[in-house]
Amino acid sequence: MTPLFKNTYREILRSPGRFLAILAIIVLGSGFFVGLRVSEKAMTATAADYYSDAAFYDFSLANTLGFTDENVAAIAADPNVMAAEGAFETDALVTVGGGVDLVYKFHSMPSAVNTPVLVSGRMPQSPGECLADSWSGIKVGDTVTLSPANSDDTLELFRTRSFTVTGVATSPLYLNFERGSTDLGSGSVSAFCYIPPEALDADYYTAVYVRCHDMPRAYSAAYDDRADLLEPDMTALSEAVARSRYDSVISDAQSEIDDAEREYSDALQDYLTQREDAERELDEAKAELDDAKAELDDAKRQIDDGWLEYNDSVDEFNSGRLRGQEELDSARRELEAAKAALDAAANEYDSGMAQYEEGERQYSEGAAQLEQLRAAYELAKADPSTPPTVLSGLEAQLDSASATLAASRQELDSAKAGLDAAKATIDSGRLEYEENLEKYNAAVDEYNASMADAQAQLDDAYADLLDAEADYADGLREYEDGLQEYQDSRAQADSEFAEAEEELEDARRKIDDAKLKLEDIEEPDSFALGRWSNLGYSCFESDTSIVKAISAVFPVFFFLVAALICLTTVSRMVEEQRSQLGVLLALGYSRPAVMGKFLVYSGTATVLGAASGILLGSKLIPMVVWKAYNIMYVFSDSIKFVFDLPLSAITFSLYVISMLAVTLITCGRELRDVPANLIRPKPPRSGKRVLLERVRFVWDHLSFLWKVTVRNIFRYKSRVLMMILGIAGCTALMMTGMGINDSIRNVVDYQFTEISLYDYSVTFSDGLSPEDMTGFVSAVSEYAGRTVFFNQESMTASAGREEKEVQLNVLPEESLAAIPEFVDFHTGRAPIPLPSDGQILINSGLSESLDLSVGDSLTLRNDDGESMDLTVSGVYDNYIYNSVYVTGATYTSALGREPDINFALVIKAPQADSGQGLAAILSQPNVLTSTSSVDLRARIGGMMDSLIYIVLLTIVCAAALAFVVIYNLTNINIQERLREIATVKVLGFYDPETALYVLRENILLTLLGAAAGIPLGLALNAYVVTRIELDMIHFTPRVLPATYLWSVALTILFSLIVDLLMLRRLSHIDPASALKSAE
Amino acid sequence: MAFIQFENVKKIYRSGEVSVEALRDVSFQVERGEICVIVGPSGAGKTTLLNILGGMDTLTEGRIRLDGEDISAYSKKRLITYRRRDVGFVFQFYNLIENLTVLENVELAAQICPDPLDAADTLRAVGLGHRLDNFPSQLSGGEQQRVAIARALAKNPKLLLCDEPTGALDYNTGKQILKLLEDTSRGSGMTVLIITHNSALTAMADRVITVNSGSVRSVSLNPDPTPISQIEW
Repeated sequence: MTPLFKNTYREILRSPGRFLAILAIIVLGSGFFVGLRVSEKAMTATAADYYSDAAFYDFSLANTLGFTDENVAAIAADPNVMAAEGAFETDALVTVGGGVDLVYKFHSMPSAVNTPVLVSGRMPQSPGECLADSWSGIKVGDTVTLSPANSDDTLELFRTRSFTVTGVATSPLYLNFERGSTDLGSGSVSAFCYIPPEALDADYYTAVYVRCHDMPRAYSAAYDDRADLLEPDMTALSEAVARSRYDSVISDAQSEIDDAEREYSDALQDYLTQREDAERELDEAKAELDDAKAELDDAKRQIDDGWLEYNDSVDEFNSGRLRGQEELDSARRELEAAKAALDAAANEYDSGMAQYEEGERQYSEGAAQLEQLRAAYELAKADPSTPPTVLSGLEAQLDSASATLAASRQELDSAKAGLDAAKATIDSGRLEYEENLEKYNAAVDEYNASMADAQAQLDDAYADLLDAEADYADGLREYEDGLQEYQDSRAQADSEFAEAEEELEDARRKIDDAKLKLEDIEEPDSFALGRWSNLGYSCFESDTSIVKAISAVFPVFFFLVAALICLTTVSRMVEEQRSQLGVLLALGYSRPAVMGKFLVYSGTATVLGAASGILLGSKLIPMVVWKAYNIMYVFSDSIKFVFDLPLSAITFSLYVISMLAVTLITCGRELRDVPANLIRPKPPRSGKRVLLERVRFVWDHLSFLWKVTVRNIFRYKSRVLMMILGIAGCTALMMTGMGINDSIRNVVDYQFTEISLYDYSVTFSDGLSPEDMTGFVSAVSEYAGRTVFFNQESMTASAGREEKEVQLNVLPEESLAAIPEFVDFHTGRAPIPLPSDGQILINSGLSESLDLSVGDSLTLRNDDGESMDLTVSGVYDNYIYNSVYVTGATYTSALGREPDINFALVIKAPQADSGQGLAAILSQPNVLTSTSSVDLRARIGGMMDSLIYIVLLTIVCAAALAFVVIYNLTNINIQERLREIATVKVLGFYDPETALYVLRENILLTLLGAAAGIPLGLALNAYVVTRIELDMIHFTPRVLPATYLWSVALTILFSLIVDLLMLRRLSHIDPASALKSAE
Repeated sequence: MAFIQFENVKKIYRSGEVSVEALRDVSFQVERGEICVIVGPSGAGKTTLLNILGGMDTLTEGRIRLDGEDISAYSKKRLITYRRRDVGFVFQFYNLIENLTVLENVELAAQICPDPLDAADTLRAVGLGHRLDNFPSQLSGGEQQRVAIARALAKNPKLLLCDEPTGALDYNTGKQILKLLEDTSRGSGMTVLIITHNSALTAMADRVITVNSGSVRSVSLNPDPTPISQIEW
């Protein structure tokens, strides 16, 4: 290594700070430049790769009747078509894991076009399995079940009710988070779900997706051109297929109707025949029954007679019996009386006997007593002592006793005679009784016997009669059964006839209805839509367009600033080392050799910086940008690394050449001097009066130190200019970054709170009649507060050579008064009136793209070749869509017909749910499509959300830029004035005072720079924002007051941070060593 | 008590492994109002000595007293105050602020002092009354040095430290400057220390300190200094 080279090498190592500063700036500048430019390409490439892996469609064909396999084959046979696949799609309510019902969009699993890309798990293989949406949070193993709340029509489309998730995937049809709207449930689809075709029970496809031959890469201009070229073919193909489908549908229906007619007449015939037979049978049966009835009646009569007879007999018998009985009874009674008399007599006799015996006994006793008395009398008599009275008494007694006794005896004997006579009577009576009794018994027997006979006869007769009754009853029952059977049969037959007749009537009616319906089937609408109709595709396109727009300007700015800084740094370095240059020249090295050192120094820094910057920028910045966008697009976790060779080569060369050129120029300038001069220290720049000094008034009031500052500023003009430019650039960049956010973000808010005041826009499939309109309004009255109906058509607007697609809104007379409630036409704050005849109200975006102002004329043209020439009556502020307005009268006089009412704007009822309102609107039969402002706002707002990362990125880079600029320049400043600073320190300035002495400049320059940066920022912002071209949205550059504040505040902040860092540096300046003179 | 007193002052510069002893055990005294010339060859340590005395550097060992105060114990901040108030410096290469006029240069120093002299008067006193509104670049070397002296004087310091004040000037101009210094000292009783490698100048001094290789070789008093106008070399 030659000493010269060692010198260079050590120079780098010795002051790594300076080398690294240059390196850093070049890395930043080149990296950002290339990185942002490449980001858009990388995003597009990543998406294009995904689309090609997933075999994304080029066209989707749809019609109102659906497609069959034959239709798909016919489409595939078209020479432009590479692959065509039918797809069946339907929305349904599902429950997942037992939660609330969600709306899923089910797709039949495709195999050739729009194939989902597996993220985890495996593809479903059997009907009970499905592939879930990676966005939805569902995992492999979960179950998706069709909710029973689905309509029968929906449920019938599926062969199974629940599906096990076997895999999770992304779908090219859903590049971003939007899943679309639906007329079920909440109004928006939560996720998609792929199921095997076998799981679906439909015999038609809802769409056919087509891939064409020779299609260039997605998102390229070549692709758009080719797609435009093929579109008419595809449309024609779709129409042809739709027509053939229509024809086959009609003819199928017709033959079914014919079959039905035939069946009907057959059935009618059968019915009539069967009815006849049945009637006949029933009549026969009836006759039989009547005969039976007659017989039974006869029998009944006979029996009745029999009963009469019997009853008579019974009566006779009874009376006979009674008589006999009576006789017997009286005989018996007599007998009994006789018996009783006999018994009584016997009793009397017995008692008489008993008395007699008693009497006999008494007599005996008496006799005995008499004897005794006698005895006693005798005695008494004999006894002398007996008183005479006594004796007379005794004699009396004896006499009475003897008299009594004698009387008794008589009684007794008569009694005995009577008794004997009684006995004889009794005995004869007994004999008579016995005879009578025998007669009686005989009579009883006779009676009983004859009674028994008679009874027996009667019993027989009774039994016979009972039998006859029984027979009759049987007969009657049979008859009644028979009658019942007949009646049942009759009733059944009647009801069956009635049923049959009803059925036949129904069938008749159905056939008639079907005939009417067949007449009603309209010719189908058919569509062939390119990729632009896919929401994810076009959203992505918009996003890349934003990145592209931003990448157009920012990096250029960075490049310029970076170049400026390097220029300053290198020229400083060269100036510092002038004595070294002088020495080398004095030693005899040639100028080129001497310059070589510096060239190597700056060259190395530049080459290393540019190379690493370009590589790092190409890799990292797209990654950062992707991180921001990946929140909305989940199809790939990593962005493709795209290396743009031409861009990188140009950038690389640009940086290297400019740095080397700067080095050459600066060196060359110094080296023109004589070596002797170079060796001597450069005389300091002389002080000079400044213009401001003449303004004595201001000058005298400036403090000393401010005077120094002002003079310094004018003394080192180039450095000051550089500092101001750098700071202005920093402020401008931040303003632009935040200004883009202001211009874009708030567009959505502004549009929907101040211009588009409606909640839903509704497109109808046909023109509406006044009844349709009232019908619609009442059908959705729960959700819709106010509605206005008018006509909307797509037209092309042209003025001069420029053309733009616009939505023409034709306002009929009735809607003119109401429309300002729904759309507020104004510009700035001034309201704009509606146009009158022959005039058109255009939006600000259109006026800019076609360069139109009030009073200019433009032409509207539609696909049928009709056109209208109109004068611009006003330009209203509008950001979303190109919407222009004319009155119905204008339309009619230009095109000669009334406009169809096919469009409505709706303001929702307060408190109504937005999603349910949308579902309600979509479920109306004549509604083709509807968008809710809430959804549109969210969709566009979501697009803008990712911008915040871009803005942050910008701010970070602007900050880095400011930091490096200020640091570098302040460093140079200090370097240059080292002696001055040391002197001031020696004089006794405290550290803060010393710092202020130096940094006062910085503060002033920062303020000046920030002030200069504001108009620069406004201009830059305007430029970038107008470069963002999205089909749908038009941006007006806007900068909010907050942005001004933030940009300036942040710039000052960064500046202060650098100054604080410089403080340390300043306090470390040792006056002693700094003042050690270059002796 | 001497006005300036150096007591066993050592100054060692260390950078990594290398240590250089710039001053070894320096001790001397200077009385108030003296003109003291410090002579010695290049690298002897004269400037180091002056720097330490002037508060621009710190000593490693020893003590320095100025007017009874131990300045070697001062903190960094105190040193700055010391420099502000008590010391006036004159450098070989003037070190004027290019962006300020002559008057402003002197005002710059005067502004921060508690008790300064009038800037314009001081300039007139050094003979630059007619150049007040000129920039340093418009002055000759001698005039610039005179401005530097005026700047130092305007601070009304306790002592004036001059490091090779005539080093960048021609013979005659140098003599003028030295005369100015001499007049200042004799006239206002200012203590002036002058570093030079020109030994002829020792004649004008009241005290001569010889420094060699970081040590004081000799301190000699000169009871009868010669006015500079009479010295030729």
